[in-house]
Amino acid sequence: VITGLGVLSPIGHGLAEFAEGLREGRSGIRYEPELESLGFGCCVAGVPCGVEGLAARYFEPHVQIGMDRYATIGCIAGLDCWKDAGLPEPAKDRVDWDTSIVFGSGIGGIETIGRTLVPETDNRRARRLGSTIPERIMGSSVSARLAGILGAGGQVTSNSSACATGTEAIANAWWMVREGRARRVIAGGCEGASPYIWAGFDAMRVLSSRFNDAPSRASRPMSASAGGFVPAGGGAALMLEDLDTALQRGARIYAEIAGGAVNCGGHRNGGTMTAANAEGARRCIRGAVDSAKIGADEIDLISGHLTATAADPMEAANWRAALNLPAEQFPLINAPKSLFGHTLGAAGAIESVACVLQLYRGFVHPSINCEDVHPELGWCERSIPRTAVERDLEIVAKASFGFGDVNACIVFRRWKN
Amino acid sequence: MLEVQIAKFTVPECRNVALTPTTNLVDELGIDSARMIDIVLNVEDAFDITMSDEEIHSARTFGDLLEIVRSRTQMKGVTA
Repeated sequence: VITGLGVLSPIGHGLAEFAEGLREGRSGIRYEPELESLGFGCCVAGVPCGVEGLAARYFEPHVQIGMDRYATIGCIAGLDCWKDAGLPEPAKDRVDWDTSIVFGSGIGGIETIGRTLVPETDNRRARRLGSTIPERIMGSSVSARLAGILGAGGQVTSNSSACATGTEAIANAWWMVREGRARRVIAGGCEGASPYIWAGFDAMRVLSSRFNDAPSRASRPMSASAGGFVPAGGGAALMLEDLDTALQRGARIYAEIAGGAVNCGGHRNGGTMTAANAEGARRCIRGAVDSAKIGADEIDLISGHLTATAADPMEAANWRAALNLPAEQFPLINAPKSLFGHTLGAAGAIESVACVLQLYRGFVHPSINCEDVHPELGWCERSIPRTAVERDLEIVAKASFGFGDVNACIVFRRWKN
Repeated sequence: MLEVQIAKFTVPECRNVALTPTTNLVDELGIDSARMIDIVLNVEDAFDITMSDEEIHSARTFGDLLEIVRSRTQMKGVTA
């Protein structure tokens, strides 16, 4: 079951602000002058606000110097999640052997690499770098830092599966709890907001470049005028706990994970490093639904990957084929990236927090900027909420698809006491 | 100057520990042993001196560091 949530996103920090942003359909996309000055085609992005101020509140200076910005974001989300779960302040002299951490990122500490490590090394100043570079750039920076702050003594690890990272982290954590390998796991994903992360995507011409003068309209999943994704940063975490442990300590339960699946299309039948094998995505969705032991018609809401690229129609078609439902029975489908852009390795985590909040609070957030629905998506147009829908939900399915032809899908179920 | 650098890396719960020549920086001030390098680099920059790797690794106390800085700055005075 899910007993804690933490989020730091372009539409807000903390559950109240984030949920309000979701419900209002607020865009977190803004013009970023640095991108324009660097000659990017895309000059808009989703950047969490006030990270520096938060860092000063959350971390002592001697801790902060060992953290890249992506780790700061991830650790804030992780610590918020711990607190939200109602768990006690960690003891300084005791290891909590019952807590594990799976916290991923798609890219990692590239700000440190780009702004410090490479220039200083090239400038023959390697020996003046100080002690913090390895811990700032290592792939497990966030899980390791959280373990240190919380005293976590279970498995502490970091996963990386491109844009499926966050969802995969949750699936991995769920399996750890189900197998009895952990009583509680902090599962999350985070990504920095850095031009060094986004430059390669700009070069691929997969970022939005036609709405630089209208940032709030730039992220347009499922729209005929979608022209690429809006890059973003952020982080989120979910506390997964075995039911007995959660009940014993009287934890508030937000929702349960009913099923999940992770796979790869094997770069076959249309799948490549950057494109999806449709059958892989469909099998992943079907696997998650089957493991939840539910019928496809029980799904109330799909939280799509839906990035605002040419892949959106194919993704919707994959959902339709995997669920094998007639168009008139197709569930509601929304695109969280329409609000805060594509947070890459954080996407699955942030969007899963959105799923849980929608389940727990009984609403469906709007999918914005698709007033001109893509012509290949006419069949599901009635399933796309343009304004918030107040509705009790039972089942929400979340999927993420990433470079490397990797797929991850989680089925969340409303918790009934 | 040296005190300021050490204070930067001292963990909050040890900030009231008195800094004397025998104060062990890692054991008594909770300074992450890896951060000794950062203290040394900052001190080197501030005093325009260089410490050897052996000196860095053998320095354990405030007094050790103080002595290295004192000897280096005196040497500079002699050669200047």
